[in-house]
Amino acid sequence: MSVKESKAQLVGVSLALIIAALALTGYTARAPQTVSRATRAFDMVYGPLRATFFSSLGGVTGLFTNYRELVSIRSDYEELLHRTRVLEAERERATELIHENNRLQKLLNATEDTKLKRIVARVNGYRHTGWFHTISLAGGAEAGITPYSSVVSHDGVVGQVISVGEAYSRVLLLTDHTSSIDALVQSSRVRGVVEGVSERQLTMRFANATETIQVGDRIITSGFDGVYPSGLLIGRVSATDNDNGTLFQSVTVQPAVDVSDLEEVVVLVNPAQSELNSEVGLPSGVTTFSDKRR
Amino acid sequence: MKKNAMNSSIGRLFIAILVIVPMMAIVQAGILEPLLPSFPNLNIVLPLVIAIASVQPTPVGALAAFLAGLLSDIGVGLVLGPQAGASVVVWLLIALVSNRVYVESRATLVILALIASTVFSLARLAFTLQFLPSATQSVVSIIGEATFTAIVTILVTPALRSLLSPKSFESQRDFPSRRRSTL
Repeated sequence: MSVKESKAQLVGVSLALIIAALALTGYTARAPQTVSRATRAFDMVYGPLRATFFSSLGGVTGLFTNYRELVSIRSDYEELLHRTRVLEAERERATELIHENNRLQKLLNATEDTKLKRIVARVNGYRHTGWFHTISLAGGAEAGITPYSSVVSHDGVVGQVISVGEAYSRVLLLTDHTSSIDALVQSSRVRGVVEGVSERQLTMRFANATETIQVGDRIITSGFDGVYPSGLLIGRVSATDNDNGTLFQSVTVQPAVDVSDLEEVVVLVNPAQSELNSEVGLPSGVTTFSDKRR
Repeated sequence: MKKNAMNSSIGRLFIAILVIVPMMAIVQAGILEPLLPSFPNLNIVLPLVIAIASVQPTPVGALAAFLAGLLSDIGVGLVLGPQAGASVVVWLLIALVSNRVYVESRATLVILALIASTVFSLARLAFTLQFLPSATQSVVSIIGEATFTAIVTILVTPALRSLLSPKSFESQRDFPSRRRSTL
């Protein structure tokens, strides 16, 4: 058979098959039940094969499905982790706000009896060297703070304002060696002057040697120095020495306030003091003797 | 002797079609569609028709292609004939050009598969439209199907060709000792 004949044969057979396909299409389009019969027969023959294949395939497709679910779970996990971190940060902030609120509440409660103007200020700096014990406050003249105002916390006396800027104030702590506070022993009303010694120690001078002062007695402000209002707790007597043969006994006082752990304080501003400052020519608290000293 | 061998290889060809087409349909329904739902449809018959046309460019091959298409039609279950007719059209196209082009080349195979798939889709649509005028298929889906089928064809046609080729059966059966000696 030649190539031409062979090709003609191929084309002829193909045409015959195409015509058969057309006829089949036309027939089955008009008689769909024929198709369903063929499909049923097909399923009968290949159904078991398909069932076997799908049952063995279940593991493989399950693997892929599990993988896709794992990827989805991982993405969900990362999103949840992110949300957890955000919520934890918010919780920390809320906890901090609650603590701050409690501290401020204590501060206000501790000074609620005073008639002085109360200004709450945040401590934003410490200067604790061997000689000088000061702190700085985030608040100054524009907040109404004036020099010589007393500074207290909920535990007791902190110190006094020695210089004021527009937006900051410097406070001389009661533990500074230049600090002096006119004081009383609360139980016996013995008078003296409390001076700073170290961060955890004060001394009360000029207490009459004939008076009895006991360890644990509360030392409070007398109000006679014109800076501190009366009745503020300074500390407690930790030791006394009445055997030195002088007119005065030596009294060691432990401050009520831990000056190394202050976050907020209340500045008690005396409006009269503010007016006095103006009268003697001190500007609204920018310069004081303390600044000159330093 | 030679006639018996030929009958045997033809019988094996039809058995292979009866197994391969349903298997490919099952693979398509069981693996490709669940795993790649957004992919275009795969023409499962086309790689087989191309393989048949390249190993059996004889009237028997045309019948085999018709059978493969018919089995696929039965698997779809709508009307019988469109895929059978389209398979014969594609088979004829490739059988006529298989002597002139080098079908072993992968690049040729890609172009051939793209053309064949497009022709197949158009022929199937033409067959269907003759009797079901509401049937439609977008150009985008035809192109998508052609591309996806061409890629799959490159991967599976060499295996199908070696499976359907009468020569491979003959060589494995007749010269086992020679094959072993080459190892």
